[in-house]
Amino acid sequence: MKKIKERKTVDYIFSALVMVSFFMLFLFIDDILGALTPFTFINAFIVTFVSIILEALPFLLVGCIVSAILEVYISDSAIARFIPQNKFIGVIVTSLLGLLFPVCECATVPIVRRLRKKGVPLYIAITFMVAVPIINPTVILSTSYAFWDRPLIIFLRVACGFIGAITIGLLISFLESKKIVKNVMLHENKKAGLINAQTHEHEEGKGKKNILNRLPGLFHHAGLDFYETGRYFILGAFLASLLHYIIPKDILLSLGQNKFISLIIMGIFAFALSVCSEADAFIARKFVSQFTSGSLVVFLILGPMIDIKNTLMLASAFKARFIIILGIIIFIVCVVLGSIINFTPMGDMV
Amino acid sequence: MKKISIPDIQWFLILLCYACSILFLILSNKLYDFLHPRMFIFAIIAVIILFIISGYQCLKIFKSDIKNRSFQKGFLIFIIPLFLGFAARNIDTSSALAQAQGNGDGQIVELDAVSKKYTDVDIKELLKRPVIKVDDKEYYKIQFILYENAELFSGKEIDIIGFLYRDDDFTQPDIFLLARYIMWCCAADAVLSGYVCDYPDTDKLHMDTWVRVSGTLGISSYVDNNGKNVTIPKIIVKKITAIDPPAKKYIFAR
Repeated sequence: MKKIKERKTVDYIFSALVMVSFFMLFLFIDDILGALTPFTFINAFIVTFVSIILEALPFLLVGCIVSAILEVYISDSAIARFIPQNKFIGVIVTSLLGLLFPVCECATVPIVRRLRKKGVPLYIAITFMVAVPIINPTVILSTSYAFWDRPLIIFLRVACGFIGAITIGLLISFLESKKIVKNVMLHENKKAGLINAQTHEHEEGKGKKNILNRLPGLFHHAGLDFYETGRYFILGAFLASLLHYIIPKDILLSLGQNKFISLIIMGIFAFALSVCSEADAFIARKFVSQFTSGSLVVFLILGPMIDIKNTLMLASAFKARFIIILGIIIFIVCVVLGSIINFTPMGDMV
Repeated sequence: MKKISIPDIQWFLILLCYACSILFLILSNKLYDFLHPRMFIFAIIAVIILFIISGYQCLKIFKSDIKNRSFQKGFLIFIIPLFLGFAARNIDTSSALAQAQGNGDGQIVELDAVSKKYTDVDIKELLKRPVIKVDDKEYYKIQFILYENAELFSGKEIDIIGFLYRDDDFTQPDIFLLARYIMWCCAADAVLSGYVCDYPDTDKLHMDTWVRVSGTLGISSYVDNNGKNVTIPKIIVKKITAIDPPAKKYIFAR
């Protein structure tokens, strides 16, 4: 009993300290900024960072609401019913499922796990996971707002996302048939598993099917999703804005204009930043003048398919060997698509 | 006695702060400093959703739920934008972005070929005007016309506002850029643009101040990265007056 009490007091003191120090910072922020004036990039960084947040926040929130609606009102059986038996038609239809079920990138892993439990084939589940965060109305909408003056990029994001998802799905199916990929699921691990994953689970079929009854649950989920995705988005925006001002312009330009290296850099960037696909278009926008179009498309399709956050969530459901294989496949497919754009006349048309 | 969950209160306050901050920016017209007007409706949607979610969060405060203990560290991340947004309230966003730039004379202005939008009719109409008075709505279109038809407009009178810009990469002494920032979605993607101005007393001018310039159009040229000779318009300044920073500092590209 005593330990819990002590921990609580420590919690309170910690919270109090944090709040007091922030209060002090608030009081003196103008002086601090004044002292930092010689570092001209700081003001520019703050303006850039704040504007990206303001711009993307609505799309992030809408994505959370939509995802929460799907989690609360639609069961996985409904999703599974749409999947055809034939392999090729199967991957094609699955890639388009996001248009009906626009789930947020973070909610796809728990759904994939539940789909597998229901007996959906692995290659279909993976196609779902990589396609839905790209081919969905919210993402297409935010991309069209970020790149309204470059419609070709919007088209390329959707087209390459579609082609990429189908390719990845078929590759996984091929590897499965060659027994290279098998027994990929982890056993149901009750101790491990992030709170993130658990909070997305909802009790299936419990309670009345009343729409109003489930409304609090809807906003509860939306709030949780916002917490999850918001964290990574804010960090991503912070890093992207910082990098933009810290890396010397000529280096950024020489790397960004290189038709091959730019692809790799953007791929790594997309993986590391873990930004939700509803909002990453606004981050990609920032690099539109320095990077090749192919690399921008790589950023826009690789990010939704796999990133650090996704990988962590996958680790709670799949074995490490499979995750690595999947990561490599996704990276290669995206870079190949990006190369096709960069090394053909398409790249100059954007 | 019902337990009150502190992390829930903190999350509620954070959500509420976000909602109120954005609402404040909208109502005080400061949103123009960060976002393109076509995105404003989305900012309003964000405010509404945030208020709804914080409302539900408020209700949850009074239901003890030990699972929520994990929230604490993540909150610091959410406080960062609120904090920096608060810090940004007094920054002149235009000049902040300008000071972090670094470009050579005249080569700063790169017109985005993708967004070219004007016709021969527009050129004739512009030529007919006795004085080309540039307002925000036509800024982008006029700039395109003048930059691509610089010789045609040589000698015409022009009246235009902007902020003074000059950086260490400028090699000639008596020129400055009468600058504006052009925004497509948000301040983060804003691009520096404007007109090169000839003015003998440039060294007496205070950079980053907003001015109204009236003068005559002339031509200037430079050699670009591909070795090609590029002709651009310049303004031979007759009169320059200080003005208050306009409410809408950015040119909003359409």
